[in-house]
Amino acid sequence: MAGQIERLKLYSEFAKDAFPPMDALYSFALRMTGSRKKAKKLLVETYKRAFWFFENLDKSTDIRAWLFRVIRNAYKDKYGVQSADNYEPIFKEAELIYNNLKSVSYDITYFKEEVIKELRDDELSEILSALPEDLRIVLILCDIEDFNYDEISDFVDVPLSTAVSRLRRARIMFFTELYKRKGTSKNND
Amino acid sequence: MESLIIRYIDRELKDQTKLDEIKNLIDNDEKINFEYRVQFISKSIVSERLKIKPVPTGVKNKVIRKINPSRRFLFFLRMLF
Repeated sequence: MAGQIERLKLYSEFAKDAFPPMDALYSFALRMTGSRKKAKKLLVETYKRAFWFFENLDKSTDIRAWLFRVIRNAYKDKYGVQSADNYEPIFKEAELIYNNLKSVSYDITYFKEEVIKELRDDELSEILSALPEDLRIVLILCDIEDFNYDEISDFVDVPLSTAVSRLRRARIMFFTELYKRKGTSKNND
Repeated sequence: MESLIIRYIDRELKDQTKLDEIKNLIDNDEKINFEYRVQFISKSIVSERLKIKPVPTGVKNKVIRKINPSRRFLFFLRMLF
């Protein structure tokens, strides 16, 4: 019974430290899997693993960053890792559109306002979910989870310059997809 | 140059000389201004429209049910007494 009481104490400590970032982790899981059901499973698996290892965790550890590493590993174990080469042709297509827009000095003065008016949140989520995994992950970490570049580079385990390059590509692909959908959204019906 | 624009947008550029240089280029170079605005628009739409939302209560409860030892402990106590 003494062991069980210790376990309860540990749970109480874990809940105090590890539950506050749950919203951010769920959001990450949702954006990475693109499905509420899969996000729930991934979140549960993450917290099961985290609680398992929590007892031996150094008290000075940044819990939020550590939980994100746990969810990253749980995601990799469940869904594997996509090859970085896979998205090259898709990006080239987006880059072509982007370069054409740039060369004709396409007017983007009201682009954001038009997108916000025309596209629903679920359509924006769809665009994000369709981005190649390596690009999507840096965009989520930077623009939704508010990680800094060092944290992103550490998280995706690539040099900082590579992380920045992926971020640029992710935003270009996101933009060109917005451009393609703008004016054809169901909200215009 | 592109990487400097991104760092500028994400407030990761600390060097004042480079900051001034990039601001000047954004203001005066059409192509660089376009790159800046595309990056900025994408960032702001993602951060404003796809921001973190509270985890649904049902999902949170499921997490708790899976790891909270008190449920199993209470069951064990009931068996004893």
